[in-house]
Amino acid sequence: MRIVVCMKQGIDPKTVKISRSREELDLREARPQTQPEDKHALEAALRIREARGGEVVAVVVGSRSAEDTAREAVAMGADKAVWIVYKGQRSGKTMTALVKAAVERLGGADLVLAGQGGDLDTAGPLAGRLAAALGWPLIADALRFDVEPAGLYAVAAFEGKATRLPVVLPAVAEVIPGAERPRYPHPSRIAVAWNDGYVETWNAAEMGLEEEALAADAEMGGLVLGAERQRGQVIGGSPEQAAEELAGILRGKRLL
Amino acid sequence: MGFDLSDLQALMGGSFEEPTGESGGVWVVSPDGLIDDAMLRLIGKGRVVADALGGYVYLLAGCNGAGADTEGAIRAGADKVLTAGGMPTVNELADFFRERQPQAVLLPRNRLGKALGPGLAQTLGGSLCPYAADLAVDPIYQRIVAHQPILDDAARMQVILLAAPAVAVMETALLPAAFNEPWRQGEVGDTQLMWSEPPSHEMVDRPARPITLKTSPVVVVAGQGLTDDAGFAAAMELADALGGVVAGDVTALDMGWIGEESLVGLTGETIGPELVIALGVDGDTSFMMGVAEAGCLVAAQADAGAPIVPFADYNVVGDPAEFARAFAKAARG
Amino acid sequence: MDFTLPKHLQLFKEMLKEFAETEVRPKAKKMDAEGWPDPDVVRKLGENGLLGIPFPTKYGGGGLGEMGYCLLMETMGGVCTSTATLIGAHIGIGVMALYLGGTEEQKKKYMPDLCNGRKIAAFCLTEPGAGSDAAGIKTRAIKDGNSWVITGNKIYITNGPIADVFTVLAVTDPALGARGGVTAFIVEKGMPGVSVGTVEHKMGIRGSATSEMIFDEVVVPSANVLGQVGAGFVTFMATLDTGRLGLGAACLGGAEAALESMCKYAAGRQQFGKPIAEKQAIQWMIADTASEVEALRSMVYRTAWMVDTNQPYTKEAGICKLFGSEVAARAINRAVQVHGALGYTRDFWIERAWRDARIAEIFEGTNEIQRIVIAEQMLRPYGVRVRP
Repeated sequence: MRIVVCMKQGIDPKTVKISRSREELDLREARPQTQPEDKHALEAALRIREARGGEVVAVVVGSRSAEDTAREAVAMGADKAVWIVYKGQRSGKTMTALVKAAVERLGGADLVLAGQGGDLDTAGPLAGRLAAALGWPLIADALRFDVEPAGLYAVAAFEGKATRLPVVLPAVAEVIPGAERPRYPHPSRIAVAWNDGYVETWNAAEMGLEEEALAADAEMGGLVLGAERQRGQVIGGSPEQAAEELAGILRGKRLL
Repeated sequence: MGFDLSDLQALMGGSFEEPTGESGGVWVVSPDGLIDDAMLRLIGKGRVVADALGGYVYLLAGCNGAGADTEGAIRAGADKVLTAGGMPTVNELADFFRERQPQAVLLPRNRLGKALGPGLAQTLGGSLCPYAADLAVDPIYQRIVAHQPILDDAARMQVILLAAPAVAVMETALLPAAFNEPWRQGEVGDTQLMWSEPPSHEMVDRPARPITLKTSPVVVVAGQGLTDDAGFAAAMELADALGGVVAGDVTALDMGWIGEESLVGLTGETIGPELVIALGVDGDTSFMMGVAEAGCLVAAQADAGAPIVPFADYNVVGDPAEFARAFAKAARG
Repeated sequence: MDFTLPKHLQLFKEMLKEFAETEVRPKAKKMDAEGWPDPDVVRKLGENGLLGIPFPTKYGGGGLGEMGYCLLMETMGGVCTSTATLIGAHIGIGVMALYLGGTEEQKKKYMPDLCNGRKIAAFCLTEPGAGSDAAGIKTRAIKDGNSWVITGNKIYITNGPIADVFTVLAVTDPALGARGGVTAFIVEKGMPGVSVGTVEHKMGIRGSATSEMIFDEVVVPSANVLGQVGAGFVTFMATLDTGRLGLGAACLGGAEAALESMCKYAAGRQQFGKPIAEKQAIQWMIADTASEVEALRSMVYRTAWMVDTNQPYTKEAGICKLFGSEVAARAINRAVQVHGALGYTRDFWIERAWRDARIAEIFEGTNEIQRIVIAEQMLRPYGVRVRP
C-alpha cells in the first residue's frame, strides 16, 4: 500500500506582523515552517503504515527552502519524499496539477492524504481538489484511521460528533487534528534525512506539465485592514445591559 | 481615441446587456436545501456582487428546498430560486453548472460547502477561495475579489479569482445582516433534477482532543474580586456557557478554587487564547504578562482605576460575579 | 568559516524546543518540589531517542555527535536544569565512559538499551575521601578467578537511585596508583551487593536524584572490566572532558533563558509610569549578560566542533565549564534582581534556576580544578608542571 501525503512549507504566523502604515505583511522576520496542519496528515499516514505495512511518500511543492520540509517529513518517518521544485505562484490549481502528476509518476497511490489549509495558506486545502482531479472519492474531516481485518475505516468529524466509514481505495482524505499530536522527528532519522537517497527532486517539465496546466487560478492582491485594536474601552450600564452589549460585540468578532 | 462599449461598461461598473436565461450570474448553493439566516446573508452578498457585475442571483437548493424560506430568499436578494431533489455530489453539481457558466458560485463554509467547493472549482476549471469573509468586484477589470482572513482575522488578504466560475466558500458569520426588501420580486422553479441521496452515517463518539488551559480558545480567569465560593461558581458557569476552561490568578490558587496547573500568569501558564474573560482580577504584572498574547481580553472588576483597565480590550466596572451570571445568560442567547 | 548550524541540526534544535516546552517544562516545578525525576519525562526522553544523542546509530544512538549533544543540553538547561543534569550524568559521563573505554561486545550489549532509555546509567567516581582528588579512591576490586569482587562506597552519585547500569572506578593494584592501578567496571543494579545508600537533599537540581551507592562484595565477571585492567583512570578522565563541555552547554541554556526572561519582564513591568527596561541600570544588566552569553555560545559550539573533528579539546572543555558556570550564575543572579520580589518567590522559576545554577561551579570538577586543568594546558609548553 502506498500512501502519499501532501505537505507544504508555510510561514510561521508568529513571525509575521502586519504593517498598518504600508498596508502589507511585514515579512522581515518571517520564518518558514512545515505547515503544522500537514503534520497531522503525515502522522495519520505513519500510523496506517505501522498497522498494515506499506510505504509513505511525502510530496512537497516549493522553491529552495521547501526542501527542508521534505527532509523533515523523512525525519518524522516518511520512507521517502518527493520535492517538486516550483518557483512560480503556488495557487490551489497549480499545486493540484503538480501533486496529481507526482502521484502518477510514482506509479499511483492507494491513499492520498492532505491537511487543512494553514493560516497564511492562500492555496487552501488540497484534498477536495485532488479528489476531483484524480476522480477518487473524498473523505472529509478525517480524524483517525482504523486498520481492521475487514479493511480500512476512517473516523471523520461530522456535525459535532464523528462518523465511521469504510475507505474504498483509492481515495483522498483531508486529515484534521485528531486526539493524537504528530510525533517528533526522531534524532536517528534527523541524522540521515539530509543524506542521499531519501528525497527525490523533480520538476514540472520532467512530469510533462506545461505552462498552461500550471497557470494560477487566483492571485494575491493587497491587504484589507480592519480597525486597529483599541484597548481600555469601558462598557457602562447595569450588569445585564453590559452583558448584552458585550455579547453583541463579541459575536460580531466571532468570539462567541 | 475613444471609448468602446466594453470600456464604458467597465467604468460604469455594470453591463448594459439585460441578463437572460439561466446562464452567467451569481449562484448561491444550499446543498441541503436549508435557508437559514446564514444563507440569507450569503444571498445578500451574492446580490451585491451580481449588481456590480450586472447579473442575476440564483439560489440553488437541494433536498427539494426542504425547509426553504423561498419568500425570504427573494426578499434577501435572489432573483430566482431553483430546487432539486437530494444532495449533490461534486460531479452532479459540476454537471449542472457546466452549461450555465456561472460567473460566481457561493457556498456557505459548513461541512457540505467545504466538501463541495474545492472539487467544484477544480472540475469546472474555475478559481477558488476556500475561506472568504467578503467578496468585492474590482471596478476596472470586473474580476471577483475574495477577502480571505489571515492571522486570526487580524487582516484580510485579497484573493483575485481569475478564472470563471469564481467559487467562494464563505464564512457566513462574518457577513453583514441579510437584506429584507419586500419590494423584490423573483420566481421559484424546479430543476427536475434528482441528486444522490445523502449516505447514511454510522455515528461514533468523536475522539476527544484534550482541552487544556493551553489549547482552549476561551479562558475564564477567576480572581480575588469574586470574593467567595458563590462568585467562583459564577465563573465556572460562565466558562461552561462559553465552552471554555476556568483558570485563576494567585488568589484563586490560595482560595483552593483552582490547582496549580490552572494558574495564569508568569508564575503559572502563559496563555494566548482567542478570548480571556478576567473576573475580579485587578491585573498585576505577572498576570498581565501571562495573558499578553490573548486575542481579546475582557475584564470585569470593581475598581475603575485598576491597572488592568487600560490593558483590557473591554472593561465592565462592577461586581464581577453578578456580571458573570448575566453574561453567561447573554452568551447562551 | 561558516557559523550556521547544518540543516539537520537546525531541525533537531526545533524538535528539542518543542519537546522541552511540551514534555518537560510543565513538569519542572513539580520535580523540584518533590525532589525526584518524573518517570514520564525520563520515558519520553528515551522513546524520542534523546538519551543516546551523540553516539553512533549502530549502538542505538542518535548519531548527532557532540554538537547534537550540546544542543540537547543547551535546550534542557534553559527549561529544567534537573533534567539536563539527569541527561548529563547519563549520556555525558555514564554511557560516555562505556563508549570511550568499552570493548565492542560491551558497547553492543549495553548501549542500545541505554540509548533508548530502557536503562539509565550512572557514573561512580566520587568517594568520601576522593572528589577532586580522583586518584585517592578507596573502593577496591580484588580478582577472584574469572571475576572481580568490588567493595566500597561512592557518594553524590547523580542518577544513583534510578540507574540500572553503573560505571564504577575501583583500585585493582594499590601499588601502581592512578596510573595503571585503577580499573573501571560495569556494574548492574541487580547484582547482589549493590544498594542505594543515603539519598541527598540538595539545594538545587532537586529534580535529579543523587545518592550514595554501596558496593558490598559485588561479584562482577571479568567480561565487565571496562576496556583494559588498569586503564580506568585514563578512561574516566577522558570521559570527564566531554562531560564538562555538556555542562557548559547546559549553562549556556540557563543563561539564555535568564536573559530572555529579563528582557521580557523588563519590557512589561511598569514603574514610575514606564517600563523598567527604559532604565539604564536594567539595560546594563541586560547588555552585560548578552555579551557573556554570546561569548559562551561561540565557545561551546566551537568546542563541540573540535570534538566532532577529533581535535584535542581538554583545555577548551575546561574553559567551557569554568566560564559557562560563572556566566550562568551571574546571568541568573541578575535575572533575580530584574524580576524583583517576583524573582525571589518560590512561585516563579527564576528562584529555582538560581538555586540550580550554583552546583555548576562545583560538580564535574570544581572551578578550581578547571583552572588547574587550563593552566596545565597553557604552561606545559613552557616546561611548567601544574599539579593540584
